Amino acid sequence: MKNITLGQYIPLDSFFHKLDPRSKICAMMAILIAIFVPAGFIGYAILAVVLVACILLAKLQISFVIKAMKPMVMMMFFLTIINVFVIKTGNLLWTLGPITIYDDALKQTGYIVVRLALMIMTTTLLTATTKPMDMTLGIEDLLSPLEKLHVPTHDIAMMIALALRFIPTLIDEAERILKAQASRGVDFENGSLKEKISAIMSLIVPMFVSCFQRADDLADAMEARGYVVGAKRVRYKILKFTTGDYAVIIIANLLLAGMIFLAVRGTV
Amino acid sequence: MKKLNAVEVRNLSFSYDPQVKTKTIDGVSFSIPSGSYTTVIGHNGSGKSTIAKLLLGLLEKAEGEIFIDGLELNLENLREIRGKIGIVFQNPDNQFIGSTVRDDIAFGLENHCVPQREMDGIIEKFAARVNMSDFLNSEPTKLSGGQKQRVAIAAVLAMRHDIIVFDEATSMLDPTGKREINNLIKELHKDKRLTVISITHDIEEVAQSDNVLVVNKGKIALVGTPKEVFRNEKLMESMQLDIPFVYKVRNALRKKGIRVSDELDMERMAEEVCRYVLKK
Amino acid sequence: MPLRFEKVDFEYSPGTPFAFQALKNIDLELAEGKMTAIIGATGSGKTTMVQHLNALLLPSKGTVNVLDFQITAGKKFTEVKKLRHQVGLVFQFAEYQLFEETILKDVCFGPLNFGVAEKDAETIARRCLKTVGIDPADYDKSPLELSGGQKRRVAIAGILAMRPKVLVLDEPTAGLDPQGAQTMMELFRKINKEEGITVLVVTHNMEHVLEFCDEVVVLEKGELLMQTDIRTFFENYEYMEKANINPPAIIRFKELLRKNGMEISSDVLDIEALASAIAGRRVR
Repeated sequence: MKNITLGQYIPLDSFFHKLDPRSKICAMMAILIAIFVPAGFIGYAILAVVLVACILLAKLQISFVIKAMKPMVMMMFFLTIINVFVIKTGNLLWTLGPITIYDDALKQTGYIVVRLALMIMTTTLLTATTKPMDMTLGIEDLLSPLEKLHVPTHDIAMMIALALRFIPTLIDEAERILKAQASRGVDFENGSLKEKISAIMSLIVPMFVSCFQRADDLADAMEARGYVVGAKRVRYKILKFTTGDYAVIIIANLLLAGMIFLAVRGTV
Repeated sequence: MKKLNAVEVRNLSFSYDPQVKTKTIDGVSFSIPSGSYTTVIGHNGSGKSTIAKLLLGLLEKAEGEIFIDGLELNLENLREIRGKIGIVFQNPDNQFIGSTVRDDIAFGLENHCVPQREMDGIIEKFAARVNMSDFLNSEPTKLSGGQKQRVAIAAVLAMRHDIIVFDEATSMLDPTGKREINNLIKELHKDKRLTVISITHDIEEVAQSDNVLVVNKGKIALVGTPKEVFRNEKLMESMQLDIPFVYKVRNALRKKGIRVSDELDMERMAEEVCRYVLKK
Repeated sequence: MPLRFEKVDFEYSPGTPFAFQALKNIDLELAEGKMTAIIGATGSGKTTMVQHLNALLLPSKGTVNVLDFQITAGKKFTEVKKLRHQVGLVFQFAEYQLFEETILKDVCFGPLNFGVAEKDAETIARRCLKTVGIDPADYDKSPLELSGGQKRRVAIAGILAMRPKVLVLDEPTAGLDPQGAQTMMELFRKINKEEGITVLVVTHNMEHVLEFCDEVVVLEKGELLMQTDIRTFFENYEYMEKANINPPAIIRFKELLRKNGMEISSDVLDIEALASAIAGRRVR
């Protein structure tokens, strides 16, 4: 369970690690939009080069990013199959009995796969270089205009922060319960459907009980230290924009503009 | 002017389920002098922790009055009360709120609206006080139970409370962690400016405290100095409570016709026994 | 058959940056029918070691012999279920493993998993609940209605109901009040003596080690430091101080008496005997 790379923070010291989470989130948004602009393969090539350069600049290993794509491989595979069967336009490339493959099908599939890969590169770049807690602060700040519409942005951020804080604790706990039930003869891998359900219940029920207990304790601890839901607080961590942050946002938006330009020129 | 009691409780009652006739806390009155080290004992389920939560207003009392530093606790002044009295709970994991040691100490300061520019100084000062300066940026998973409890203590100290409740703060720790925390509490109490209320099962800690409150079935069964309390052996036994080892030795010796004083310190007791028996 | 560790190594997450060797060359034999304490500081490998007895962890090197089973590093171990039926493992804070609707059902869960007939499982469950001191009126209650100490007892009954030949307890009294802990240890000693079950208990409580156990195994940083009987272990005061072990009160008191000129025999291990020994030294 601890070997998931998608979304994992990698503590390194790089230009990207030092950036303000808000600028990284904004830049990511711009790039994600850019990925969906139909700018053709030239556009994607440009984006890919820029992203790889960024990954290297962030001192991340390319293998780490490739690992993060693994969960998507199955999805890409199914998309390919579906596309091949559904898209029947363009030039006929190949016929095998009832199966016919057209070049548009391959093109479309290629676009989707490339887009997915680029999206994973972008999000990994963000999550691997931003501490989860800084991310929550960034999201909180970016959502703060919504506070005027009575959206409790601060409470939402607090909830995300607490959830993130307790994930490792709960993983440890789940492992312990898993082992305890295994030594009571539960087989989590084999068995009939009924046995499987019972096995899962033997993990889930204790996890629920323990989570409620922890939540209770945590609420007491927070209240005892003076936390009141919705009350005014002073924030300890202050986010600060530097020149680098402005640069990243400008570059990301220039890329977006470039993609739009390529797309418009292509269609005209 | 008469010195105020740190805690004054009059006729306090509480029950978790109003339908049930037996109350969890049943007409309890007691006072805890400022600057004292008071231990609260009783077997699990006697109501000790419930009293602690009532003192902080974490549970709402049914009847009675609670004064913290002379201020009566009510629903309006909870924040003010919690600026005077803090608590360290039993489970080190469930009270670690921040993602790092630094953030965890900051949490209380944020709530009490301490100006942001002062926070770093306060955090560093109190982390040093509990000997955790080297771990300021550590995450809780990287810390031992004892270290997490030290952070919890720093977080409470940072809010400049006069009174700290320890609710079995060492019961989930290994012997090293227990020793660390016990020594730290003793040291914090040394200048008697802090009132310590420690709910504990550690009979040796009880023996070293100024006052003892014995809770049984939601009532205060005994109050007094450790010596006064331990004198009621039969009563203690009936409440499933242990007496210190030295007192057990003293009783066994008495049966053999050897009479020694009610000394609670093991070292001095050993000296006394040798002096008496060996006629040195 | 005894329990035997032969040159056992264990490494967590091998081949990753988080790799950590938790056991180093453990060579150890534990006699059947005894109650053995496993002690050592946090992180010394106690829990890791006992989880090998149940094949929850498999050795990275060496062989673990449990009853008639042999678990060798690198070889596939196929009798996991049979082994777990015979070795009961009570985890730390075992109350968190309860999940059935009623107490009785939860205790039946283990035996049923190991193929015991429903009726027999219930008979055994009732007997085990009685052994751990749960009131029969509570058998149909939800485990969640009980106090913490009682929940722990139900969880232990759930392991006893598997009728194991070896009972392994990982800090079974952590978080209980002193009286609750005492009765729990008395229960394990009774099971050990009356039913001849081999008991291994991981603990930090030296008073319990002295009062209830026959042997001590000391681990330090994943290595076996010492294996000896109780009396020899508590005789060596200097060693305990060096190993950062807080000796039981009676041992500390005897040491203080010795410093004041009164040597007491190492056979004296309880308060009554101590009082007699002191009275015997009386100068008239």
